[in-house]
Amino acid sequence: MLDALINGFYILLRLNTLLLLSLGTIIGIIVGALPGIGPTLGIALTIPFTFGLSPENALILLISIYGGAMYGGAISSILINTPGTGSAAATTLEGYPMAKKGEAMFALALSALSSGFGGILAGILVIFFTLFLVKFVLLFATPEKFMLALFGICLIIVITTKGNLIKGLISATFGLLITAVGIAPMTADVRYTFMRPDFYDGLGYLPALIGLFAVAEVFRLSGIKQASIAERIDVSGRGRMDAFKEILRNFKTFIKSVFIGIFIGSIPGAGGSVSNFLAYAEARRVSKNPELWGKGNPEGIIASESSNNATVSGALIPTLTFGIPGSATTAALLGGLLLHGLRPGIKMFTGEGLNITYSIFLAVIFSHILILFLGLTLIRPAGKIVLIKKEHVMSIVIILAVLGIFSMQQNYFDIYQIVIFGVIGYIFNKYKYPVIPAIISIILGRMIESNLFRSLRLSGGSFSIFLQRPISLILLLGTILVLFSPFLSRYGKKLKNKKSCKKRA
Amino acid sequence: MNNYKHIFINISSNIGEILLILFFIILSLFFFIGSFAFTMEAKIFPIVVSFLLFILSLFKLISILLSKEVKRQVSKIYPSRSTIITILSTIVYVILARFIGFLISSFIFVLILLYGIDLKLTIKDSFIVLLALFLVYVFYYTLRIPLY
Repeated sequence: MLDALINGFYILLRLNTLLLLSLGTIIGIIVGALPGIGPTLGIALTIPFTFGLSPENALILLISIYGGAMYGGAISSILINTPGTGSAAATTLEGYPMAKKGEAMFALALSALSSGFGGILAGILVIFFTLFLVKFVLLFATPEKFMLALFGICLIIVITTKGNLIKGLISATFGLLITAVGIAPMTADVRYTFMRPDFYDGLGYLPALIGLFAVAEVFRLSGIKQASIAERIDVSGRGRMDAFKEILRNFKTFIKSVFIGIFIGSIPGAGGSVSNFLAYAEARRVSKNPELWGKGNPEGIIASESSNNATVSGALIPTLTFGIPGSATTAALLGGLLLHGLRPGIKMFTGEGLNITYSIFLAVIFSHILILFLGLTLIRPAGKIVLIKKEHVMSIVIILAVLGIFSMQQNYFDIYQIVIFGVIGYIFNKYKYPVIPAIISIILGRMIESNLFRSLRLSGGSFSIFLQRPISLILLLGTILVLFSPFLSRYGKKLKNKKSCKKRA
Repeated sequence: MNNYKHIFINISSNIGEILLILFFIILSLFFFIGSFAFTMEAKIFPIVVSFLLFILSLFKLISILLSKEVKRQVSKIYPSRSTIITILSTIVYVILARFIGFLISSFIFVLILLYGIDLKLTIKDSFIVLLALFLVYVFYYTLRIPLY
């Protein structure tokens, strides 16, 4: 382990790697601060640029965008009451009231410190946790991998659909169906290609990723009546040292929120947008001064920001071990991983793969050190990001998406795909069909089909193989439980209501 | 008679979503029927998934048609003017790029988008046009995309 860790340091401490890490963190802060853009879009747009980089450098660039964006989201949350990312939504609850009270500078410094220290601590904890992951990953053969992918997709559906399970299921099956286009993974059958060579390799997951996330987001933004993201900003108030003292005062909340962030991040489907609210709610629940909450309580920012940055490390666990993305952003990250020929699983935790894995975790730590530095020194200019005109952001995002995807294979078919997927994503958003299950299904579709095929070959064509193996059976039961959980919780609430009505009567 | 009236109201107030579901139904039928031509190993996956999509879409369609919930706001099927301009200008951009290269097509795209949405161009807009052209040049220089 120590050798791999040293090798990880060696990879990271090269000048070009450090430059990429810094660039990624800055890009991340900018895209995170722009409401509607966020880390997923930032990573999706950067993937084509990484084509010429080594796999470890590419991943370090992408992961530093992720970390930077988690902090960047707090800037617009605090200054304009609009979270740059879903992961900073809870930050608005205390951050904006603080800015209104003239404490924007204090709130921004607090978010930088909480994000930076939270990310660093989570990175260190996850590095030690990887030791135990190796043994766990070895327990998973093809039937387990198939069931785990299904379990992950179902978990993502339930979390993202917010009550309308059918819409999530339709979105996921739509994504899976799209992966059937092209040459079948285990046989020589050419499926649904209309005899056009463009379709032989299937509809690419990268055009789908960029189309459904980036292009669709631009189409959605175009319909919002707003000249620029903000009209005016005010960065003033108490300083950086006060923020540091505040974190020390609320150290227990900070530590608890980091653990919440790692835990929630490691669950497929739940990401920073869940962890920041959970950490915020927990800090509020145990608070001795409940009357201070919602009026600009610094403890709320500490809880929200330290947990969402800790999620970055946590989300890497299911992504690197099983190839199951923890969130939309890690789905984009997984796209980058696959593009560079890295396959999640045991290979990422042995030999050369472990060096890369450690360099990724170390990159998380280093990018958060950079967040501390950038966040504290560039508070004033960072605030101006939110003044950029909406149409300017839209046009640059489309150009980057088109040029980026074209440059990968010099294929015009790819740029047509991103527009088609963009329109599909826009329609999905319009009628509240979640896009994330579709995109994760598109990424995992081929893996699911080949694992299903291999499992059936092992069992001589019998589906009973999924019931005979303990982990596979547990995952199957878990999948069923997850799918029925919305109905069970609704039934539980009804029962509770009835009981309370009876009591009142 | 009252029931039929209710269904018609549901259709008219959810026409956009109904069209989307019909698209899913047609897509699932296309994949289902198309899979008959493949070998057993290659058709299991598309058959299972297309069947699921068909059933789910049908269920959703029926639940919309029979819904007793009255929508207060009828959702507009057409997007806003600026969204139409954005989508159309993107389509024109990717089509033109094939014939006239990325430099001129990117220039035209940014102009259409900025002017089409705002109906005026400012000094700040010209910076974005220059930035767009600079990006095209960076891609040409580093990743060899065709300029013309």
